[in-house]
Formats: sequence, structure tokens, C-alpha cells
Amino acid sequence: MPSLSDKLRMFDNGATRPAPKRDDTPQSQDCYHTSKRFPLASFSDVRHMTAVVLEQVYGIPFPRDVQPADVLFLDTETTGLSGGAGTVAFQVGAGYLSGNHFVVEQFLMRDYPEEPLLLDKISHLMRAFPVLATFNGRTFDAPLLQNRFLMHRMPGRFISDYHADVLHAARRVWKLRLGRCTLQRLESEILGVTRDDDLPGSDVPRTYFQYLHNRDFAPLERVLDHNRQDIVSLAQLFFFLCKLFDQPETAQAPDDLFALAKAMDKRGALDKAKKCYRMAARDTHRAQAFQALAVGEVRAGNLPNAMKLYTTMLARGDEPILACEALAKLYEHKLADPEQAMVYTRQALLMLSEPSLWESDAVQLKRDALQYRYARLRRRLMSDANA
Amino acid sequence: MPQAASHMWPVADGGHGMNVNQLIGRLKAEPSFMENVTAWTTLPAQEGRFSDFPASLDARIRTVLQNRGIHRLYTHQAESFQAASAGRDFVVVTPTASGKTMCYNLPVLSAILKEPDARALYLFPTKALSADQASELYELVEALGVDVKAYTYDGDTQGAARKAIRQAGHIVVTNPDMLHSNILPNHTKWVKLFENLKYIVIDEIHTYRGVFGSNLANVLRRLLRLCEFYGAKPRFILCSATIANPDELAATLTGREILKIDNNGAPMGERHFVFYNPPVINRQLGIRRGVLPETRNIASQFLANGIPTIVFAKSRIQVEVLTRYMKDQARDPYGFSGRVRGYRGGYLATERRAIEHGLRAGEIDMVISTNALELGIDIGSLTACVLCGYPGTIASTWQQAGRAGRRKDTALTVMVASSAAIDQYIVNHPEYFFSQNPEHAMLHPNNLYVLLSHMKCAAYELPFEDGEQFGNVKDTAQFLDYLVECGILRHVGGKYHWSAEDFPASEISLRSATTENFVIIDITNPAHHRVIGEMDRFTVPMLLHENAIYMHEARQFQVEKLDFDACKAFIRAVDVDYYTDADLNVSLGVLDELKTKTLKSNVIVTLGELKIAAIVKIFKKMKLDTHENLGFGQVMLPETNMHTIGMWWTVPESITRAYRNDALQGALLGVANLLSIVCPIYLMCAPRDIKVVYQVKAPETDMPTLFLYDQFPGGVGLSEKAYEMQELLLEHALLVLNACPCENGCPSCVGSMHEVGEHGKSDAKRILKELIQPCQA
Repeated sequence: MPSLSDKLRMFDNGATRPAPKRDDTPQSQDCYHTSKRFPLASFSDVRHMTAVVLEQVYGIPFPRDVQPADVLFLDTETTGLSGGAGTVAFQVGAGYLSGNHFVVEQFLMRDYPEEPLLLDKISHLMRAFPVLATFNGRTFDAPLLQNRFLMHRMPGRFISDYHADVLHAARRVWKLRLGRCTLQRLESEILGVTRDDDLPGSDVPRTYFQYLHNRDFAPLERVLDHNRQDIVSLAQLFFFLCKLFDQPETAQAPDDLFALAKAMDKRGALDKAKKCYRMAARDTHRAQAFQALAVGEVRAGNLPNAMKLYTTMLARGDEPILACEALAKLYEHKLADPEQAMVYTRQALLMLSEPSLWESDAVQLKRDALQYRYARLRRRLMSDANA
Repeated sequence: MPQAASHMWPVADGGHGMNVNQLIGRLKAEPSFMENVTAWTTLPAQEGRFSDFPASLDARIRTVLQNRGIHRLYTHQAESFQAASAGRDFVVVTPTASGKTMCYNLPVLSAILKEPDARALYLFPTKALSADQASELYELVEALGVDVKAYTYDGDTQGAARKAIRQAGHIVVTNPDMLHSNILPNHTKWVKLFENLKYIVIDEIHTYRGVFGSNLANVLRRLLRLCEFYGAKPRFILCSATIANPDELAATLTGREILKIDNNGAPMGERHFVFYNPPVINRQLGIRRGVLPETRNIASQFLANGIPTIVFAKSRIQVEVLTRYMKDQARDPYGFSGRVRGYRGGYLATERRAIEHGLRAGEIDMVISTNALELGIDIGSLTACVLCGYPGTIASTWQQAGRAGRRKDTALTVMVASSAAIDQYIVNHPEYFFSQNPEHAMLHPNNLYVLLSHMKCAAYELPFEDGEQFGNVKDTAQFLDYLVECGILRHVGGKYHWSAEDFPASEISLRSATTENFVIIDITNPAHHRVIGEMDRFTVPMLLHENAIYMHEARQFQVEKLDFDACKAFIRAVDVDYYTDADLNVSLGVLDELKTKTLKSNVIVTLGELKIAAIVKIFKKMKLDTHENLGFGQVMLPETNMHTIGMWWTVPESITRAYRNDALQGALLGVANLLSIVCPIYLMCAPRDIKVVYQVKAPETDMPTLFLYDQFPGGVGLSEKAYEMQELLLEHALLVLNACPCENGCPSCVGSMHEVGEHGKSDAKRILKELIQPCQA
């Protein structure tokens, strides 16, 4: 009769393989560690980084007196992407400014028993730096490390709340122009860096498992290179974003200017926002920029400026229906001039095409809204006339 | 659809409906109705039995209950509270509408009021049930005016809310699938829950049998393993419908010793249970009038008299057809028919909530439902219940019937039998139904495949340590070493670490036997291909080979293409006058013998592991009404192999020598058919969950042998139970044979004469007797 193992082999389709060579590399008392220094020449001027700028970029508070050398740039290489309890960060890299250099320190566990050592190193580093910067770390790296601390019952290891996730900021600025904002894409499009012979991220887990199996360290060097490059690019993007928010006028692409303007607007940096909108308005985003500016003017209570902007839009044929509707609203609600409001409402309705079978829901809704406004204004004018 | 024959039965006179007692009187006096009734059982009203509030019940809860007019508890509620206070794991076994939610809500809320950090996890088999239970909890908590947070956490929960639930939810209401695929693998995000987990509440545990149960038992092993990691020692509170072995089921599911509380103290009104067998309309072919028109006739009497009624149908299409008829009947002069509603899966959630509300508010007179309304969703109480066909298990039947009947008033349930063998068995053997429930809910947590899958998940969640045992699995280390061999785990430093890229939980569905299910795609409308179902890979060659006629919700489809590698079958709607019957060639091999015993008749009964190799090479086209063979077709599909658990009777020569070879074949085939009918009733499974086959010469022994095996890879516990109760199964097979009025065999007993031969029925009877009793020779 077959044994349990025989049965498992017979019926489970998991491919078995020869048992690994017993590991004869001596067990060290520590995890693998390496460090490398880079000159700052390829970085944007780090002095653009201030607490005020950081808050504009990331929308969260930072310590008042924060310095560029207070930031720890962190990236993990993991055994999988699912992020559950069974995913391990087998390699963690951390970068920071040190004098005129950027230093990248990397830690790697050569097998599972070294994981607590690696976690201990990383948590010490994190404690030494008040600010953390990652790429998608709010979603992935930070919770993952938190998991690992917990699994190894390492209480009190905390991850800073001053956490700048460069992916979020990058998306806000470059999504309009680039679409997907992967680190690789940002590197080539924004930093102008191209990698030679880079290990694709999707190969990382397999490379590590292979190393565990055959103990050939050479392929792991490629993982370390990949991780190091990620950290350098992360830091470069971080300081580039600081510069861009500090001096938005340095942005080259009109898409970027418009995106920056919106970001500033959202963060309440209104003067900077206005400046960017005006610059963006010289190009393809003229209508949207004018509209945004007008909304800003209304919010600030400068009705004449707002009306001038809308009238200009109307005259140039930039989103004329929208401009008419906005003008109608202003006349009706702010200036108590239903007659003038009626004029613009009628104009907007005339500009909407004749009803057709194929018009979109949005057009239909817009028509309904305008017609509703029209009817209301008409009633009001009639009752005023009767009175 | 035959014309309804509603003229025969009482109708409402002059628009004034009869009440249910009058209707019962009229039905009893109506010979054309009564001649089809095989049993009319009246269960007397039961007074409520009460206990005072337990002294340790929180005073705030007491006040809330008193404000609702509750001044004492039913005995089973009080017993539950006591058991929980004593730190026992227990199962409450009571019928529908007996206030069983209080059995767990009271201890849980009490614990949280005493200890605000305490947490509880509620598991319900469906999302709809979770939502319903959570809203009941909210009401209670709101009335208490305390800060106890109860949340549902399932696929519908929004991302933003999830975080709050993980941090702050006192009571997390979810389903086994979500626990398995989301909560356990991400347990580090649920630290608060795991560290403080005090109660695990699992309702409707009788639904966790077979594959689903075997999987849940392992999910619970994983849960308890994590609780140990976090230092929590939760207790189980379980609820079950009435079955033969609720405590055994509960113990197998949880791996704990379980106290049974079945002392139901809830009052009940008088209940009438009527078994109705539609009349035979063709004596020669033994064809009865259809279950659907008969159900419709009976339901229309109830509707005409304005008696609040629930009709249970077995498929969505039956629900739709019946709803259409009933709505036509109920339409008022303005065309409004909202007093009749259909209810089934596939309706929008908001629509279902509206129907549930309409039922509670008495705005709906009749609802026609699939078993979606069988489980405890609160729809208030109706007066009458009509079952269109036997629901498949006795427990389900009682639960569905329990939807009718207020605490004080008379309730009436009519079960209309279909022509299926199991329906005919039940309707003709009311004594099984009304005596103690014979249904054993079985599961097999140590199924090789199930176990291996869940050990992967468990290792992902927390590395196994050397010497650790998973549940009661003594061979844990062997499983782990095998996973090391596969390169999935890494054994180093005294621990087995998850060492693969995958997320193992995503590879297992708790509700199906294999991961490789085939999807069935309807391509009738070229612009809109739609997936209409799933099938496991062992059944696919039988039913979904190319050119097979596949029935789905009473519609015919033809299989156009079967993509075996991609696990997809493409079908197109057709209208033909034949069905297809694939010729399955099964070869059995015995892998291992686990237990064996010799009966007085010298029959050897063995429980063991089997290897089943099945291949389909041809199929027959059979004419629908006459079953004549219209031709053959070829099937080109690979052999499928399955490893499962089975039991078998080896028949000694002392018995078989009296039979000619073909007589022996006919007799054994007859017994196999009988066992296929009887077993599901005791093993609480669907007829296709087990397979009974015979071999005149079994490969190892060369002896005539009857095999019964679980039609699931690895087995789900059915054969083990069958091995234990084999004598009872044979005895009841004989009873069915004796009770069947046919002369030489029919599909409701040994099978039709052309299958078993002219003397098949008498030979089957003789050999059954000889199997049970030592032969007198």
C-alpha cells in the first residue's frame, strides 16, 4: 500500500524537484549588508525642499525645521506582490544624504532565519530619520514592514507618519501627460535615465527563490543593482518634485503646468496656482485654465474679473456653453439680474445642438438643466412684470 | 403546460376568503384532493417554555428586552446564555423562527458590555443573510445606546470602510469565503480582532457539509492557529437546523467537544403537513401529472382566499413560470399584481429588500421563491407554504415549511411531489420524514486535496514550526515535507516558511471540489456571450462533450465546442426531441484499505481509497418520450482520474453460486440503483454526490463487488458514514423495493426492466435478503 507521500506525489500535480543542496555557507551573526555612495551632481538642488514645499507636494504636514538630510528613501524587494502575511521583504534598501553624497545602504537576508536581523537594522535606520520617502510605500512597503515586525513580535517598531509617497505626487503632476506613472517610465521621461540590463521587477521573487535553492549569489547582485537604482531614482524624483512645486514656472510641458496649477489650487497655494494657470492658458489648456481662474475669482469675491474671464472665453469660442451658463448663474444669483441671466441662458440653449437620438447623457442632462433654469427665470420675470 | 384543473377544488365564495382553518376543512372534505394525499400530519400546538433572565445578564440588555415586551427567555435561550457563561462551546438546534439569534447575541453583547475590547466573529453562509443579521444587531445595539460596533465585512464592503472595521469593529459579520481569502491571509491588519476574539458564531452549520464543510473545517483550523499566535482563546456558538448529528457535525467542524442544546422553548401553533402526490395520468408508462401545474392549482386556492403564502420552487425558471401564473390570477381591474412577487438570486439587492419588507408589512400575499428565502432572512411569518417538489433534504423541507406559522396560529404546508425517484420515496414513506430526522451531515476535513490546499494557506499565514500539528492531522510533517519537495515551503531554522510567489488562498474555492471548474458559456446570441454555469472536470466528459444536449433551467442547449485545456464549454440553445446519454467507462482500482469487517452472511465490507479512471468514448441519442435509441456519436476526450474514498461489499461465492451470470448482473445493478435512491436520504447529499457501481469480477479479488464512492476528489465523508450504517442502507433498499408497486422494475426502485432484466426485481430482492442475513442453505 502506498505511503502518504506516495499518494501526494501521485495525485497532486505540484512538480517536485530534487532536494536542495544542504547549505554550507557559514551562518553569520548578521544579515548581508552593502553600501554605496553617489555624487549629488545628478540631483536637483536639494535646497528647494522646505516644510512648506513638502506640504504642497504631499498634502500632509511635515516638521517645520525639516532638512534634506532628514529624509530616508526606502524601497523593498519582496517574495511576492500579494502583500499578505506570507509575503516577505527579503531585501531592503535605504538612501539618505550625507554631506555631498547620496548613500544607499542595502540589507539582504540570506535565508529566513536572518529576517529578524534585517528588520532590526531597518527599524534602527527608520528611527534615525524623521521623514520617510517611498514610491507606493503607503500602500505597499510600509504595511508590509509593519506586517513583518508584527510576525516577529517586534513591538514598538514604528513607521514615520511623515511619509512622502512620491508615486501619489508624481501621478498628480504627470498623469495628464504620461498616463501610467511607473518608476521606470518616470525615470526615462522625467529624469532622462535609461537602465542597461535591468532585472525586470517581476523576476525578483523567482531570482531569490532560486538563490535559496542553489546558493548562487551572482543573480542576486542584479536584484541589489535594481533596488539601488530604484532608490536613487526615487530620491531624484523627490527633489525634482520639490523644485517643481517651489518654482512651477520651470515646468516645461503645458500639461505639467496645468496639472501643477490644479495641485496648487487644491493645496490653497492660490498665487502660485494663478501663475501656473496663466502660463498654461497660453497653450492647449486655455479654456480649462480660464475656467479655473474664473472659479478662483468668484471664490475670492472678484466678480468683475470672473465675468471678464467668462466673456473672453465666450468671445474666443472656448467652451462657450459652459461660459454662458456660468454667466447666467452669476447674473441670477450674485447680481440679481434675471433679465441678463435669461439672455445667457437662451444663448446657451441655442448653442446646444438640436435634440437628436444619439446625443450623450451629458448633453441631455445639460439641456434639462438649462431648460429648467430657463423656465424658472421666465416665471420670475413674469411675476416681476405682474407685480 | 396542461390546463389547470382548478374547478375541482374549493374557491373563494363571493370574494370573501376563507381563513386557513376553513380552507383546511374544505380540503379535507374534497375527495378529488384527498385521493392524492399520501399523508396528512397534524402537529399539535406547543406552549412556550420560559426561564427568568439569567442573573448575570447585563442590566442594560434586560431593560432593552423589557421595553420590547420580553420579560423572560425561552428555555433554549437561557440555556445558551448559561453555557456561554460557563465557557462552553455549544450548538443550538432549534427550528426556524424560534428566536435563535438571541442565543448568540445575548452572550456576545453581554461580553462586550463587560469588556469593551472583546471581539466576536459571525459567520453566515451567504451575504444576504449577513446583511440581515447585521441590521438586526444594529437595532439591538441602538436600543442599548452603547458604543458597540457591528459591521458586515464582505465583497460589498467599501475600501474606506474596511479600514475602520479592522480597527474598531466589535462584531464582524462575514462569510467563510471572505474569512478564507481575505481576513486570514491578511491577519496582521486585524490584530485587534485576533487578540481579543472571544466568540466565533457560526449559524446554519447544517449547510456546511460535503466540500463546503470540509473546507470550512480547515478554515477554522487556520483561524484557531492564528488566535493561538495572538493569544486569544475564542469559544464557539453554533446553530443548526434539525439533523441526525448536529453535535457530531459541530465537533468535526471545530475540532472541539460540543455541548448540544436542543430544548426548544419557543411556542408554536398547530401545524398541518400534507404530502400530495399528483395523480397518475398514464398507467402504462407510470406518468404522473406535472409538479408545476399541480403546485399552481393548490397555490391558487390559497391566493384566491387571501391566505399569506410562500411557494418554494426548485429552480429560477420554475419561480418565473409560477410567478407569472399567480400574477395573472391576482391582477386587479387596474392591472396591478404587486401582491404576488417572485424572489430569487439574480434579483437586485434593493429589489429583494423591498420584497422582504413587503412581506413583513403584510403588503404581499404570495411570494414564490427559490431556496434563497429558506435560510433565516426575516420575512415575518406567513400562514401557508407550498413546496413544488421535495427540496432535497428533510432539514431543508422543515426550514422551508417553517416559513409558515405564527407563534399562535394554525399553519399549513403542502408538499407536492415530482416524479423524481427521491420525491416518490419521500412522499410514499412519510414515516421517515416525521420520525427522528435520519439525515447525517458529513464532511471530511482530512481530505487529501483539501488538507494540502489549506496547509499551504496556513503556512502562508504563519510558518509551521517543527513538531506542530495542524488540527488533528497526525501526519502534518509529511504534508509539509511534501510541500518542501515541491519548492513551495522552505524548511530552515526549525520552521517551514512560505517560499513561493503565489497567494495560495486565491487557488481554492470553498464551495467546489476542484479548482479546475469548467465554465459553461451560452453563445446563442453572438453579440452577448454569457456564462450560465460551472461544472467540475469529472462531470464534464459526461454532460458537456461535443454535441451533448445540455439542460439548463429547463432549456435545451447543444454543446458546440469543448475547450478542454481552457476549461470552457460553448453551448447554443436548440429545440430537439432527443437527449444524449454518454457511456461512461469506469475502472476502479483499490489504493488502500482503511477498515474492513465480515458480516454474518460472509459478505466482506471494506472502506478504502479508490482510484477511479473514467473515460467517455461514445454517447447515445435517445428520443425524449419513448427513450428509443436514435443513434450514436463519438467522443474524443482524455481519461479523467480521480482519487476518492469508497466502501464496497464483496459478495462471497456461497451467495453468488445460486445465480446465473446475467441474473447476478441484473440483481447487482438493481441493488446499486436502490442504494443510489436510499443513500442521499441518510447521507444528506445530492443523488449525484455518490456513485454506486457493481463489478462481477473486481480487479483484485475476482469476486462480485458492489462499490459506493464519493464523487469528489479525496472524498467528503459520505462513504465513511455509509460503511458505518451499511446494514441500515441495505435494509432500506429492501424496503423501497418491497414498497414499490411496479411488477418488474421501474426507475423508482431497481431500474426499468430493460436494464435489469425480466427477473431483475425478484433477483435483487433475493440477493438483498442474502446480503443482510446469512443464507439458510
